[in-house]
Amino acid sequence: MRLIVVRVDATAAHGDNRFALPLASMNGEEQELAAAAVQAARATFAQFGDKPDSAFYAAPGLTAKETWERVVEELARVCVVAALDGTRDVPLGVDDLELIHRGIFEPVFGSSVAGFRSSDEFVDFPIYVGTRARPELRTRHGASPKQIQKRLRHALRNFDGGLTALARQAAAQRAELRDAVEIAVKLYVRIIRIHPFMDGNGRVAWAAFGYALRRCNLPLVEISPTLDTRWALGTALRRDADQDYGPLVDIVTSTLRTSGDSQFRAG
Amino acid sequence: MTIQYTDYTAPQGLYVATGTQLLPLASAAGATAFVGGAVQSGIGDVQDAAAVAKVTHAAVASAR
Repeated sequence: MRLIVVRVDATAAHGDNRFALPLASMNGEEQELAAAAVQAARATFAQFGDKPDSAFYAAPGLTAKETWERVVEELARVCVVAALDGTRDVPLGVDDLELIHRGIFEPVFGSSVAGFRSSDEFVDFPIYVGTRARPELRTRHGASPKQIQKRLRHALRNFDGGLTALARQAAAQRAELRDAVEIAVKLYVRIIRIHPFMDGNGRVAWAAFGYALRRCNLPLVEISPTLDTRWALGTALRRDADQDYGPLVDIVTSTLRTSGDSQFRAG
Repeated sequence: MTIQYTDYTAPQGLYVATGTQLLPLASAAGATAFVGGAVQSGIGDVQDAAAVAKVTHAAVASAR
């Protein structure tokens, strides 16, 4: 049985984790955006209900819904910080991914459940595979705990390499939207594939995805968790010959295009 | 490094693309879309939370 301790004042006791800064300690731009995101988090609580029934999702002293409300607030704040890091071209390292996780979960669950999986913690997770018309649920293994940091370093090196190549293309006026989206999507998918944490992998990966989009000078995206989106993610996560990043890249690229950019065209 | 694209013009500043419009993150609608994207991030979303927890706990139990 995992012991979960709530550290009530964790948000104030952020230490040197920039992803755990309370609003009051942020600079002007961060504070404005994070406050808007946290406010929005509160405004969206009603849609969540009380679905999580695992003790892992309900911190002692809080109901499952209260726990989720706290997590969503922290998640919103952390994602803003990550997006601003991307905007400012701040490099992202393996340690930063753990700090993002701690920034989201430590204020709610305490340090005992935040951070990378330990050497005896293995994790499986569900993905949708099959065909687009008939997605099927399967289970995937996360990376071996001993491989987590090595594989994350590899994923981040690939991202940096992709970004360098993209910058070269841009300098030659040959950079295209889909190329950039693919670089960001690959980082997102690789973090989920490694599954470095016991829980919260999707949320940490999403914060990193926002970071990656901003490094590419792209807007953030809202992607609904439809069956089609999950199948696209599952297809990207496959390990067989049918593995393909394409469907998820297409969804994100299409989301960006259909959101409209013409109003911002110089002219 | 501000990357420019031949087939897409990115807005200046922090925006959220919803699929139908671009919303400034600093606005109420933009912030709501942003939080929605974060919470509904594929596997890590609310709807899958209980399923993931069960799989995770089963894996940990079998590993010990």
